[in-house]
Amino acid sequence: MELTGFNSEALWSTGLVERYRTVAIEQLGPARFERLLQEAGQPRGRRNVQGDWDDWDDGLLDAARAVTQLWYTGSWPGPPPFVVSPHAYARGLAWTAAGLAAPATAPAGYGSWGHAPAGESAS
Amino acid sequence: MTPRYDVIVVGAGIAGSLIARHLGDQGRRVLVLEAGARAADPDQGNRDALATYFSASAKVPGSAYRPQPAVPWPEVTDLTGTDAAPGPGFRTAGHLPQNGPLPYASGYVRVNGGTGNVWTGLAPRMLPEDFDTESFGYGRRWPLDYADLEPYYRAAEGELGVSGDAAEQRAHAGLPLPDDYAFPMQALPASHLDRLLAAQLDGRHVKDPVSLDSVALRVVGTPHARNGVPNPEYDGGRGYVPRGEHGREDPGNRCVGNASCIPHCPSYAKYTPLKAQGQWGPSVALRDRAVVSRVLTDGTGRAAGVEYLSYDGVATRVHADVVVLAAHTVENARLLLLSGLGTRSGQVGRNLMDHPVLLTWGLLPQRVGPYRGPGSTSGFEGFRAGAGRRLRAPFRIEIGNWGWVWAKGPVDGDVAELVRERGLFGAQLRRAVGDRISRQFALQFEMEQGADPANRVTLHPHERDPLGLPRPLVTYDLSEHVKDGMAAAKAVSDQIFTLLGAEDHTDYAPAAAWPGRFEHRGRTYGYRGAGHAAGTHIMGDSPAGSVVDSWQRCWDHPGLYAVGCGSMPSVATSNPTLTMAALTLRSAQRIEADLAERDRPATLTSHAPRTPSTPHTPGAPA
Repeated sequence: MELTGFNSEALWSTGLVERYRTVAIEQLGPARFERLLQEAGQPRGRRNVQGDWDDWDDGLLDAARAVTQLWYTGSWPGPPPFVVSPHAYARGLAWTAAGLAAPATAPAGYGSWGHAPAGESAS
Repeated sequence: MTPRYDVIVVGAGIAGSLIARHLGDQGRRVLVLEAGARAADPDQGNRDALATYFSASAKVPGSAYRPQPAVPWPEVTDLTGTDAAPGPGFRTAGHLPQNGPLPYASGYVRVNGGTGNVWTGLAPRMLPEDFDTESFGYGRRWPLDYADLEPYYRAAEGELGVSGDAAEQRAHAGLPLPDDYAFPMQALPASHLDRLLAAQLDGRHVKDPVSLDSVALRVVGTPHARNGVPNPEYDGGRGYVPRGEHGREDPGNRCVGNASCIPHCPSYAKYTPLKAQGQWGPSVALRDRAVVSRVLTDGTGRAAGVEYLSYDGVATRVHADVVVLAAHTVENARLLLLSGLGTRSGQVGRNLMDHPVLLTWGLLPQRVGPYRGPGSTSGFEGFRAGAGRRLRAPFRIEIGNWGWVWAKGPVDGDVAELVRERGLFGAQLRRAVGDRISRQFALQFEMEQGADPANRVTLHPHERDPLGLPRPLVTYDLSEHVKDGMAAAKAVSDQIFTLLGAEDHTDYAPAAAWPGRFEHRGRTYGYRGAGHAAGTHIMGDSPAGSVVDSWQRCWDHPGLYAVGCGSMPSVATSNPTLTMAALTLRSAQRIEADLAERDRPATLTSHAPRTPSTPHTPGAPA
């Protein structure tokens, strides 16, 4: 998906696509969510220097940012913020992007913290 | 008929659970009253704590526990910084109102096991010179010295299960450990970050601009109350068996690197009071959801028992010959004040101390791999001792393995910044998030704060908790000595960052996120609290100037003990739990001796005579 920088296989493998769809519809309303899906799904040519889609209005941009943060952290950014579920916390893409695991979700064994970090996992 | 106990212990945290264990081992009838809730099924409690932590938006020290309205506890999120004129300020909400110039910036937890569930698990000893800072011109002298406490340090290291390197502590942390001393377990492996820093910094010198000392840097491993590889040389070659779930022997139990020690270790590698509780004998009983509201005394001032409230406010009285307050530094003071006890010196509630922590944070040029392993595995020990203490507070530098979490909160904040302020999406965002998180590191400068009677806990004049008891009220500030220490620490940090080629992101902003923020000699500093509350029932050698004696007995109330960090005349620069545990074991021995003395004329009591005996504590002299 263009928003997250992770391909659909990686997103589906989290098991969270349906859950996040429900959360986003609840938080954004069905109309705004549908618009976001359509706009974000289209290949786009025009971006400004920050990489933003500069033809998006503030409402759509804010929705895109919230959904992106949801995928990266497992939390809806609010206000007020909330963690969708323990599984969502564990599968936050921020950890994947850094080649790490969310604390207490995948302990790597005694002394593992002494090793050089692995590279970002391919996905 | 009301059952009569030998000992009532108020609080099932580290100190209370240890006292109960040792007196229970002697067959003493011990009732432990815990204000917080106990998980009915400990295994389920472990799983619930983890799930609660995962689901918490603010991953603060209390985040593994659901709040109990009847027994609120202060959380660090109760404090908010403000920018209101005339300068930096703060607001408080919740259980611990404050009215001082700067905030006491730590919380505690009221559940079974107390704050001992959520501690970091670092277990360094105090240095011999720490027991008398009066010779450096600040603080309060202890009525005992390092040599007096040394056997109990050994016992505490056995009890908590400490991993450490005795030779390294001797050579580089300034501890006079005997040549034949071995910690129960071998040192925990250094983190990758520790190794990166050691490679670039060991042997380099930095200038302390306040003391004018040139200090050699060296990355030194920190002793942990966390399971590692057992040391066959421990206890004269008898070895050590790690303890895991419920405190049961579990030879293969190790820290597996969950990186969630605060607030919860799911693998039972970190010591918590629940391990001591798992070893309680049959004569020890725990009653949870029992909020002690006052200590009862007889006409002579001798402790006779306590009154406690259930969560629906029903009062019950229980009686014993010895009452031990072990409810946390703030709550112990509150209980003494609620009971009107220990008032002769005027020191109850005074001398509140913490380790105010100056944080600095940045990005290393290379990948660090943060958020792996314990929160800190090593530090720099060169700023803790020596004549420089006269000029500025000494400090211990912890190397922070968990990125910027203490300074800036969870990685959600990094993501929010990159998405919302830098406007990134897609592959750019993915690269930026990966780069930002994987290179993060932090330094944590834990400053010694000297005892100052003006920093204190009192009873709030009109605010009440849900059970109708006056809330504690804190008045707190940092001395010029501490502020000069932070200035020195920041200058040391600047030099370390330069030597590392690190990008410094330290910025004590926004104001709301830094309730502990102040201007000092033209610069702005921000601090957090380490949760190391101490000093409110200070120990001394005279009833005129202290609340408890060196055994943690309240001077004017035979049979009443106040134990915990509240007894400490100084907090030094070491995380205080090990010292608290050592003091606790010493007091347990004293209490047992008191009870043995009581029982000696057998015909005068209903108890069978007992033979006084000294509990065997591994490593301690018989």
